[in-house]
Amino acid sequence: MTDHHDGYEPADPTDHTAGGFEVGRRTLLRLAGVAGVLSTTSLAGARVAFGNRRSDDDDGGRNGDGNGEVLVVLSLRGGFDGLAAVAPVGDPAWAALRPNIGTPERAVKRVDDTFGLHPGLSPLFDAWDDGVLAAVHGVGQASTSRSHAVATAELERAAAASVKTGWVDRVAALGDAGLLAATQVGNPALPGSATGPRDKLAVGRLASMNLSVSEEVVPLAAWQRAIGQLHADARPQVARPTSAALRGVATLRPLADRAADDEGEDAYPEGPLGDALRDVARLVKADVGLRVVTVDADGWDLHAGAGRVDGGALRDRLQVLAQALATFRGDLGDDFDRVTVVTVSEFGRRAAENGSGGTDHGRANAALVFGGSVRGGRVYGRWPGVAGDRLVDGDLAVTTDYRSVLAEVLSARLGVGSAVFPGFSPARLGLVEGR
Amino acid sequence: MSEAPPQAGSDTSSDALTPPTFMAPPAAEGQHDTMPIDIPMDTVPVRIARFDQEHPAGTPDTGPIQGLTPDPQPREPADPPADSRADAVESGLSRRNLLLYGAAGAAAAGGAGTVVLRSILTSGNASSTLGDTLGSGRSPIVGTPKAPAAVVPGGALALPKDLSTELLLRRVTYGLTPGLLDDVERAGPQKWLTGQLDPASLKDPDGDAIGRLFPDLSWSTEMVRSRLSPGDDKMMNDLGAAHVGRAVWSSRQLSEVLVDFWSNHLNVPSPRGDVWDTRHRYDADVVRRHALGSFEEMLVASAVHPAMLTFLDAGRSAGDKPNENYARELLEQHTVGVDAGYDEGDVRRAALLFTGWKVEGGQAVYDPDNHWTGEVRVMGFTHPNATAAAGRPAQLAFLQYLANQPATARTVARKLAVRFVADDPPDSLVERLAQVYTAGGTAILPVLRALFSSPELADSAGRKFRRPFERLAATVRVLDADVPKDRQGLFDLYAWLAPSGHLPLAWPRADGYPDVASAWLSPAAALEQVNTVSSLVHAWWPTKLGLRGPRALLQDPPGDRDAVVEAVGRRVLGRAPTPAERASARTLLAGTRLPATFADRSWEQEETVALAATLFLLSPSQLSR
Repeated sequence: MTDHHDGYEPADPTDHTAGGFEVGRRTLLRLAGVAGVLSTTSLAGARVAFGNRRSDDDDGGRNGDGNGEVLVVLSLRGGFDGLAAVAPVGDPAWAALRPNIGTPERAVKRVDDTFGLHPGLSPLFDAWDDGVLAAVHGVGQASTSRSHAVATAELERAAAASVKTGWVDRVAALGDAGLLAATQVGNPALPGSATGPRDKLAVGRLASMNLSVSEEVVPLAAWQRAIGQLHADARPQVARPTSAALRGVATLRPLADRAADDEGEDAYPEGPLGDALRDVARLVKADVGLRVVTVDADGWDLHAGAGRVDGGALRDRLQVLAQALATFRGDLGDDFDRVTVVTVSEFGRRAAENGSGGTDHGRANAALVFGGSVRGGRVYGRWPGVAGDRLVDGDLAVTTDYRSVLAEVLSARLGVGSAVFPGFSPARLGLVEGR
Repeated sequence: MSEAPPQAGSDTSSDALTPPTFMAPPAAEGQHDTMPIDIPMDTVPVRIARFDQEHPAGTPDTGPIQGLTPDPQPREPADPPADSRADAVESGLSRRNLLLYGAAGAAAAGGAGTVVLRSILTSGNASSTLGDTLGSGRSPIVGTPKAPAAVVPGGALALPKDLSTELLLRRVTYGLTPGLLDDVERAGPQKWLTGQLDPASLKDPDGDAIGRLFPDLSWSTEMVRSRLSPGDDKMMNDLGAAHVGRAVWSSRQLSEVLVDFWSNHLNVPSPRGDVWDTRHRYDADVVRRHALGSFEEMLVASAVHPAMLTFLDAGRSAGDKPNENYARELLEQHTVGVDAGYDEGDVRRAALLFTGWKVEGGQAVYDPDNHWTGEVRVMGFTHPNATAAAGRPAQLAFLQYLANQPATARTVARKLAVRFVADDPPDSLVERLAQVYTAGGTAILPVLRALFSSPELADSAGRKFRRPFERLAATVRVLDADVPKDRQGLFDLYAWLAPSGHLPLAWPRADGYPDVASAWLSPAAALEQVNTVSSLVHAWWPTKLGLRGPRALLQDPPGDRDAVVEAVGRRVLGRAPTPAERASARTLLAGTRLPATFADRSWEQEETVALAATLFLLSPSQLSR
């Protein structure tokens, strides 16, 4: 739920410039957790088979019966401008809609008769040409709400209002899912899609998945037993998060220690999205039983000052997004073959720009689908058009329900069936290879 | 519109702004329908308020906490009348005055062209925003008083006999400090709470000490701009650190809770690059100034504050292609709520109405050339908005219309009930509070009195959960840390909240941080909690906070484990530990290599104290409010 607005990096106690911090908290954690570090330095391999062993302390990290496939849901919060990102430069009505902040034909990477990719996405152009990145246009939801809160709630519930769980919770309900089957990374708070009774993990920064009291003084198992007793009669709102956190520490502490020690430079962009995807890659490589990972990228609600195609707020955000995803692919290496990233957003932007160099809330959007099994290099969906008579109240019409995109990945890759989206019959798009 | 007809006695003061099609309550018929606010609009000069004039006397430059100083003309009598009906009439009239003087001021001020809302931003003095200046005259009541509501329950403070003092303190403070419960029991909860509802009457040496650590928060926007580089986050970091510091140490606890509450209701995120020079003024001149005053005045002050104009883009919305951002959030988040029955057309027309503003040099500027003209209908509100000069009076009338809508009354009532009573508060309570809000002409104090007097509050133990910021503040309070002498300790405490997802004031969108447990079921935040409590108890971090460490926790620490558990329980829980708490502490300590008995002042004794305290501060009672 929580996230940080565009351009704002959460203050990091390890950043000596942010407020003149004297001692990095991470250093403190490491000093306090010396025993933990010592016990895990022998872990050298890229893939740690947590999934197949039962920890002495806890079974929280059990792989469950997942097949190793991971769906990464990237929530572009605020209303992504799919029209700018995958611009309909071949649609004769397009250019006139955005005379100041448009994505003109001359600026894009042309991908077919209708569409071109915004130059801000250039770090992903290779992926497009390699056939691991696709787009679906005219994607949206049945809700016509232009309210962030309402549209987000409906997007994340992904079912009739009578259903009280989010769709990610319903994935975690299937089969023998472990604690990490549904995990939020980056933003510490769980999204609405995780609403529901099954335990999930939220990892702010992987390096922080540790306890500040040294294992040498108090073993984790002692904390777990004591807090379990302390919270035995507590309401689940109190008991569940702490219990899940300690189980998460039991599983992830070795990875956390390695992440904390990893000072190496890499190409992830600075900021929450790059940090999150770096940690997701670590978790994927360690094969800890992930099924659905949720990651937030905020800052798309550009009502004003979106900037021009060659510079400005929107271009900068697209570049960060593309750089983060392109780096993620390289970081994963062969593991990219079992990962599929899908972008979602509560709504798109209105087709025409407004008077303040931005766009207001619209309807349909473009979704990006990125992964080793994606049949990429093309734009899927039925193009609704942006001519005046094709728009609905000034907005791009919805021609593909976003659940069809998710359902296809869940079904073809994760082997997860229709229970995730009750009452919904997905259209078949052919986006990804079956396993 | 699909709104339910107003109830008798509710919202009578808004009908002057509404067209005949909006059902006027029968009780109000013929009373002030001729109130001329939208009649002279066509001839109202642009300069509707003299923003450059002297402020009302008695508003000294007291810096960032001036919102806590007495309002020079408090709308609420310091000693509330027992008769709630009188209370309601009083407030309703004063709001009426505001409307009348709004029109009069508009007519009288004269002048044309661009007006700069300068005062609050340059002087550091009391704010003088659109409605504020318009409403500054409290003089002669013109027109017939509206009929008092038939019954206005809860206008006076009368705490229920069965309200536990501990529950009251958990809800209206950031957590118990050692001795607070006894002190309040001794003074009497009713008297204590009366003081909290009148924060200016309270001495606040520790809050003042924190204020002195951040003298820059009293700077005007011009001073900030002359001293710092554009985009510098200094002011916002200082604001956040002071916010956390006051939450922990101020004696005006309820006021600080409400500042956080309204900061979220009318959210302008901090830190955020484009409000680097104005956000601290928003805190002082909008939130703190009105936190216990009139919602209508707070709403009006927020609307034209440069920070809000920037965040929600009304300062960049012009002409016939308006930016809808502010208009949408004004309806959805600030006032009537998303289910009030407005449609996309209403949003667009409201956006048209709010064109004309821009922010220049950190100042709000009304530029008539950018104001769209033409009749505006939004929900039940209509205005001819016939000339560019009529723009601001029309905007003011619209804000006043919204503030007085029954749906807004329910929005505010429900949100306060969610803050103080339960995640899903009883409808009966919400309706009652909404009536008090309406009868009081949007005054906040009567609503709070009714809320704290309600049986629903007394019956709500265990129904609210502390969010990460509240948990951290409560932990520092119970540990009784000395008020910091060094800003660094507060910066560190503030920044520590980022990984929990609850950095104060930083929620990035218009709706503010959620305040229901279901939104905070985060293992990541729970882990932060375990680690921050461990660290605070041990006084590991923040090092410059005035933490006393485990040695200071007990005056005369016992020499064996079980006795330490008992003593630590009494110290941090304020009572003997429950059997489950006792057993869990023994489990924890038995799982370590610490001995069961130890020498006085030994390392083992200190660590046993620290671990027992850490565990108890993670108990369900400490995680609830």
